[in-house]
Amino acid sequence: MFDLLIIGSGPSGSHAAQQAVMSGRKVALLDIGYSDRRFDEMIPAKPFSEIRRSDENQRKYFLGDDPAESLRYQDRAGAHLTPARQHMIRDQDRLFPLISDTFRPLQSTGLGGLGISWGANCFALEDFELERIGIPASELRPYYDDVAREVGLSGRTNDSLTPLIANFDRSLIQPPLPLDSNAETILRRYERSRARYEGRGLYLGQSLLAVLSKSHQDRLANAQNDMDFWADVGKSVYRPRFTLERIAGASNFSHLTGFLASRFREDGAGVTVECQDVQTGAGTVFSARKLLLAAGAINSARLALASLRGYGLRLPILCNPNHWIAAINLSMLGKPARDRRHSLSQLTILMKAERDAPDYVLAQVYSYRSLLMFRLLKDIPLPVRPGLLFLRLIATAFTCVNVHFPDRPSPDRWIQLDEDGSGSALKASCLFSDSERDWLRANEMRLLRSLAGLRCIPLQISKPVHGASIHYGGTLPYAKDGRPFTTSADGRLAGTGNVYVADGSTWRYMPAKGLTLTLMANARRVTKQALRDLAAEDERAR
Amino acid sequence: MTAKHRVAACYSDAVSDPEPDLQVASKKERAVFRMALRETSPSHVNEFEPITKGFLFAVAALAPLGIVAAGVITWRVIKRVMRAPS
Repeated sequence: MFDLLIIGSGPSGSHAAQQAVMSGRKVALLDIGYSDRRFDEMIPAKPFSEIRRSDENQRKYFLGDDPAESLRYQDRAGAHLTPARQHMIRDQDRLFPLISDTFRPLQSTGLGGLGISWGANCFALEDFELERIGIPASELRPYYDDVAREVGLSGRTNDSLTPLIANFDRSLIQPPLPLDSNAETILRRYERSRARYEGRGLYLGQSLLAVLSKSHQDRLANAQNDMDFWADVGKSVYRPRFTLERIAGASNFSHLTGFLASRFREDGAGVTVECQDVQTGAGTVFSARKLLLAAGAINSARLALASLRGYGLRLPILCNPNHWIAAINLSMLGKPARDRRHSLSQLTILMKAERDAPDYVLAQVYSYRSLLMFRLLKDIPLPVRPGLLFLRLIATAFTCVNVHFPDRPSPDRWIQLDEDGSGSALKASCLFSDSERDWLRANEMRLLRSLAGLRCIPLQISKPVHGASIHYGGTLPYAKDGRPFTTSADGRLAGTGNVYVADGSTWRYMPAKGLTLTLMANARRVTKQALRDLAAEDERAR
Repeated sequence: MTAKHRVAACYSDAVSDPEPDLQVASKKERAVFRMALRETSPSHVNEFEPITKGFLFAVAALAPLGIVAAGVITWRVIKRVMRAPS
């Protein structure tokens, strides 16, 4: 029997495991854990431009085993997943069936969970945001520092954004990576009128990224090859599996990979988890004194519903509405751009948005290059050849803005587990009221006007299917009254004695600012509580 | 020859792997697919390089493309309106 069994190897699960292993307790992490390392050797550690000119094998990794898939994926959530990352959703329809016309989430089966495709944008939330989520801010702060030490962060510590996103020990932040030419012109323009923009509630600065600008542990500084969407060469962009690799050799740690947990059962000694081997379908059980759910908001809820007989019950679901804006930066039109760069978000914009309480809309600014031009051709209202000419003319000025809006619980957004003769299926519905749509539209218009003021002229707005933001939460929310399918502030699932929820399921509110850094920190906080409870039990037994 | 076979044919021009199962196969999608194969070949790299001959050149070259795009969008809107049930 393990002291602590963690389900899920994503950002929450991996950090919970590290925290637990450090305590010396006997820890196990259970996941499906698909990985695909073929691309690690296939992709040269060279700049994108050089690869394009010289590598005869590039089609194998740019288009993958099934080149047609590169097109087919464009209409689905996960369109951004490059072949090297597509294993993270392998078998998701078989292992995590979900029926919905209005919600198409990604459910990861990969080692590292949804962290495999994390954009590495980091936000240490402000106190009011943490309180609204339900996490005691004073308790969480020290864990942000622990996470920053583990993942390695780089960014500026003195721009407009800093007080809004870097609420932890800033001496842990490495110097910023150089901006690309496109982002540099936008930032310069913002800085010229910074006071005016800040007066209007628009804050812009360099993104705080879990990307190294200096070597850290066994990871190298980002080589600015612009290949970050394709490969984890040098491990400069943090992935949760790096943390698992670091604890893999610990004698008190077991990685139970290849298993899908189907339900848990509490007994006098602790918790028993029923699992299925994903390859053979054979059933097996694992037992632990404490169980930590870190399978993500959808699958932790699925597990809780199946285990506590919550069939037919509707649980809330949170997911940031997410739009993409394609824009031309007039300051760069027709001008050459520097070749060396990283591929991830260059700039972050936070725009204050008022409802009944203060809030933000988030926009991340990317310069498009290494995802290749053909992906864009389908959406351009021109035949392919003139479309390609258009893209080449705007290539260095082309700016993609990824916009996230906050989300709050609504009776119109829910998931529900139904049982029939053949098993159980999760159903979901995510609808937005007219007033919510009006609010989104009004704030989007404000953002578009601000972008135009920065000489970024919007060309097209793309609204992917709901679920494409890959930010999910709120299914087992924090509550003080202990009603079923809620979680107490210390992370214990209501109605259980030994089950804790360490992922985004517990969030009562989903800010537009990315959640990953906070998920990792909160997983550590909840793990610490479970360890304290174990120690207290041992003390009582003595 | 079905649309799927035409896609397979253009695919086999470039690589000798098995026929892809391309469920979507409009004329434009097939053309985009051909372009994807071309873009990932080092011998065609220059066809995909940015054109950086200055702001005025870019504006002058984009203007006719903008007019064509506006025409295409207008035509699509007209088609959609005509198809919509009255």
